Amino acid sequence: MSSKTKNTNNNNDGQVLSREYFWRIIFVFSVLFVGFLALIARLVVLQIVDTNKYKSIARSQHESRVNLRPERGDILDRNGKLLASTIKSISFAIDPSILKDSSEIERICDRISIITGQDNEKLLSKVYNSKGSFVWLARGILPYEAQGLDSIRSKGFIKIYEPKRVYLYGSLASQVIGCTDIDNNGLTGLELSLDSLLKGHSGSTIMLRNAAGRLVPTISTTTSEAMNGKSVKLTIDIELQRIAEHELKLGVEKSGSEAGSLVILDPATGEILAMASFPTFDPNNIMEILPGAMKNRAISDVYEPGSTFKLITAAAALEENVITPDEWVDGCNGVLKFPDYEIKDDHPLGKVRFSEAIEKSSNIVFSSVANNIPSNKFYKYIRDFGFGLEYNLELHGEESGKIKPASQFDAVSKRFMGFGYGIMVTPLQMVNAYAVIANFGEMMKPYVISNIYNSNKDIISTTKPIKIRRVLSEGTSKALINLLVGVVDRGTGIAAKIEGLRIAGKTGTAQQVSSGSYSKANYTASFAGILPADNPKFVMMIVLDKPQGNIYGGSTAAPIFRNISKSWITVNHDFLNEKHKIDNTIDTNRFITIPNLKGMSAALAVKLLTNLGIKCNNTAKVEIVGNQQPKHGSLVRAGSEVLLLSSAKPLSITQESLLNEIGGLNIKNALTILQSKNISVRVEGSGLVQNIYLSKTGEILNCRLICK
Amino acid sequence: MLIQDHDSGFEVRRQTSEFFDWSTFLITVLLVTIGLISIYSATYEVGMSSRFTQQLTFAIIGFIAAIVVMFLPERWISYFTYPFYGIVVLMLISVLIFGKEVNGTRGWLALGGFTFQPSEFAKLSTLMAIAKFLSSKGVDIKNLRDLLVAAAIMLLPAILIFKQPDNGTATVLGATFIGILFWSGFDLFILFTVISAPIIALFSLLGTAAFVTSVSLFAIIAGLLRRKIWMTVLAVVIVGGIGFTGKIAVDKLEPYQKKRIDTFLNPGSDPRGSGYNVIQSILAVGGGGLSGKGFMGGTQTQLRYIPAQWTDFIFSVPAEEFGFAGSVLVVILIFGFTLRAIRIASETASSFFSLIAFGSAATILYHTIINIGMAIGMMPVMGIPLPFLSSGGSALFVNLLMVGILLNAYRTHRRKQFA
Repeated sequence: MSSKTKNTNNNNDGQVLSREYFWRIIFVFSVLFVGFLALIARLVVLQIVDTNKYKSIARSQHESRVNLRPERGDILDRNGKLLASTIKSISFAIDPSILKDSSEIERICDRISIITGQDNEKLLSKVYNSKGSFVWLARGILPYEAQGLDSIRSKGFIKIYEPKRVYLYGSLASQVIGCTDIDNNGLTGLELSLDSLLKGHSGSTIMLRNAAGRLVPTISTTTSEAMNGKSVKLTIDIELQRIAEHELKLGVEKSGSEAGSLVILDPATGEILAMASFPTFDPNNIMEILPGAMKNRAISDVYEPGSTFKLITAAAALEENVITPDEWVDGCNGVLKFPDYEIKDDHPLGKVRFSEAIEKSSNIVFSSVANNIPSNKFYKYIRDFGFGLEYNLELHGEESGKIKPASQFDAVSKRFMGFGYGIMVTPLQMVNAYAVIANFGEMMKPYVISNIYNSNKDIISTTKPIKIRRVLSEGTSKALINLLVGVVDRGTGIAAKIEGLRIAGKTGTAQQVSSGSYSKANYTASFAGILPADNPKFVMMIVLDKPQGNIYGGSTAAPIFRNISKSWITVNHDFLNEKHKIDNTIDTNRFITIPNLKGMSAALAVKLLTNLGIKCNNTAKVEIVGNQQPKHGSLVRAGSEVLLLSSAKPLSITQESLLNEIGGLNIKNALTILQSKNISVRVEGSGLVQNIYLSKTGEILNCRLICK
Repeated sequence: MLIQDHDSGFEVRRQTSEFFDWSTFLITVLLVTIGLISIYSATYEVGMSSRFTQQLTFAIIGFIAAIVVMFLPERWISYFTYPFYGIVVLMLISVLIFGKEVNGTRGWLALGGFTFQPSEFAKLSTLMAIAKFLSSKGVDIKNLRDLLVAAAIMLLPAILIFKQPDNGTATVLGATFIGILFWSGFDLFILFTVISAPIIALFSLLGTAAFVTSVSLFAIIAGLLRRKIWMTVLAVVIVGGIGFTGKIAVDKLEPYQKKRIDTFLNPGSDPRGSGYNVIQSILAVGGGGLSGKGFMGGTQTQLRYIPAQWTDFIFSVPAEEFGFAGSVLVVILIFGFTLRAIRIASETASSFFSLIAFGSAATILYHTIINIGMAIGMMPVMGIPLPFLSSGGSALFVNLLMVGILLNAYRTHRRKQFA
């Protein structure tokens, strides 16, 4: 036994064995030392010298850059109602190179076709004919619709979660909001023009990929966060929009029009409360869109406005003192002839006051008035009213229309422009022109976006109303409103009238040019309205393209205004309150145009004035109002007083004084006055009192009223 | 334990360190703890991992067993040696018939609710059997007959294990045998030649330059051992011849064995195949850097880039998560353990224990160098676990039994010294 040598040194072999033992121990330690050093040296190289190399190789193996998709921002209406938002949807695909079980494929395709309404056979052939490894079956299916598919877990049946844009109000305001494509890029409307704002910026993060190739949820070191898209709050009131679109559709269908458009503005701020075009489309289903349905006609349709443009002529003429509301003008009994052209009125007028000419929408009168306005002034007003220029709304497709430069104005073009021909406008320009007078002469910039929010719902920008310019004096604006109130009260716009509300409005019926000349077949019917006339809350423009049968704006477009207004008043409490205010309270800062009280019973006059917020002084105790102080048409502060006067004494009546008193009144009021004076009357014609012929038979005065 | 101090007449309380080898014990506890931490990290999913609890259970059982073994009388252990060896050989035979196949190796035996690896028990039983045989009266290793008997004791289980096939464990038996031969006074020159032959064969696969260099190095060291010239020349020729025919022999190996050798020589040649584990392990170790990525923070580990990392590639876990500090600690602890075992081998009065202790040192060292070497791309992939760290109840239990014998050797040696 030689394994143990240590305790055998008294042995003879002791010295030899000890020496051998010593070498063995040395050998053992050498082996240990070499082995130890080899491992440590290798570890030094791996873990200290080259560690960065291995770290980076490992990183490239397990780190995976993952794009972080930003959430597309929402679109809200003015009251915060969600119009457009993004939800998670599921898309389905098949990898035919993995999923080969035909009964399984049939099961899946059958289910898909039930959900999406696609043709089952087509789906199957799409799958079977594909040579690739990826076939879309359906995209953007909402989770609740996908029932029955989520339980299928075959290999090769691919489910991809994708964000999908949904439009909660369907087709409402679709031309304004627009739509996105399947990859959520803006296609039209605000979705397109605000695409980069809504879209946000995609970020990326480093995620860890495990050996199986799966991304592992970790507290990862995000390199750059995705910037979610901003949300946008519109000035549109979706409830008003709903009413407007409903009535526009009914109006278009009733009149047989090809298309229609409508804009409603808040004149005080320029906020667009509603903007509608018909035909329309559902942005949730962009596969089925009628041609032209995506067009936002309210800003991209240009048309010759016709009579609604008379507002501008009247404004220019009044502001430049070319005419006053009460001035007598000549309607030429419906035909104004020139050597090479003539101007006609559908409803001929003789000599009337300007106010009546506007109520009856006389082309002849307005052509004459326009002709009397200096060219550069007329041009200035057209420009000041916003024609020929874009407002640069946040919406795509805005047209500027077309106006002639002042240098090309001549008698003919001015005459025609006076009643709205020879000029191209958009509904938006037209409505904002009416908003000018509704805002007492100041033009506001129309806008559709009120607030922009970041993804935390904090407001990051607010659009403040922008005053573009003062176009008219306050007085002229009010006078114009009063004239337009007359249009609705008793003129062409009577179809827009709502009892108990003062509404200003103007109708328009314009022939369209087809193949180089004005056609008798194609018209543009329109109506512009201001509600309520004394404290305008909204201004509306309705344009109908090619109505059939009854082509007049007064009978096609005006009822749309009336229906929208009526519906809106019943649902909008602010408006109800506003109506109350008009009825009951007296706001001394408000200016009121004194109505013509002549011929009314005192009781009626008192009622009317009280409604308007004007005190009535009947100290003379008249029964029938023969005259008033101040005169009708003059502007007074609310709360001021109107003195009622009796008519002049019969004996002192002269033809002249009588004409002054009753000239221009309607027959009913004129008769009331004449009866109170015990004057016997014979009426010739109808309409307003134009002239009188007095004669005496004894004590009795006979009067022949010439009316038109 | 109280003894009388005869000189002073005072009763003194003996320090536990006088009979209990704290160093070996604490090194073992540390290594097992690092192993548990690593297994936990490498297999953590949600909540406790079952491998961790299993390893913990075996660690507790193993330590209890070690303490029991520590206090057993030597002759009990000696008496039990041959039956133990016989039972293990029977198990090795039955595993070939009834064994459960895991990863292409039929190495697992199910008994009741337990599965265990007889080959792991064979490591200890063979060591003990050879030690017992060589320490028997009248047995001399220089006697060819005795040498052959010792070799046969080693070869019987080695061949059975080779049949599973589990070449890695089979080589362990060979390495242990060489260690015992060395310690029992076997001729160094012959031993050196025998060890060198396979190494040079491996080098020959790398190319002519490596082959020539390694043979030259062998010749120089052989010369330094100052044997007769003809013996030295013969040894060089034999070793050179083995190296030269190494390549031919490799061609006759099983494809997966060939692949393992190829992979070892050039791990990058097949990054998706058999070189994958080695590459991923190197990335884990290298990526650990100086201080590591932190417990449960190793990307290679946590993202499970190293298949079955908790067994043969367990070293990459502390290396990645605790960096150079962690990996060097493991290396130092295991080498420290080896040194303790060698010291016990030299100090114990029992030649039986001495041979077991040195054989243990050789076994542990061989495991360590092959396993860590494999994990850091220095050694071929052999499927040998890292002692005390790798997940595996049988291996841990057997290793702790071995520790028990070491503690026993320390205790009995000390008692003899003091008694």
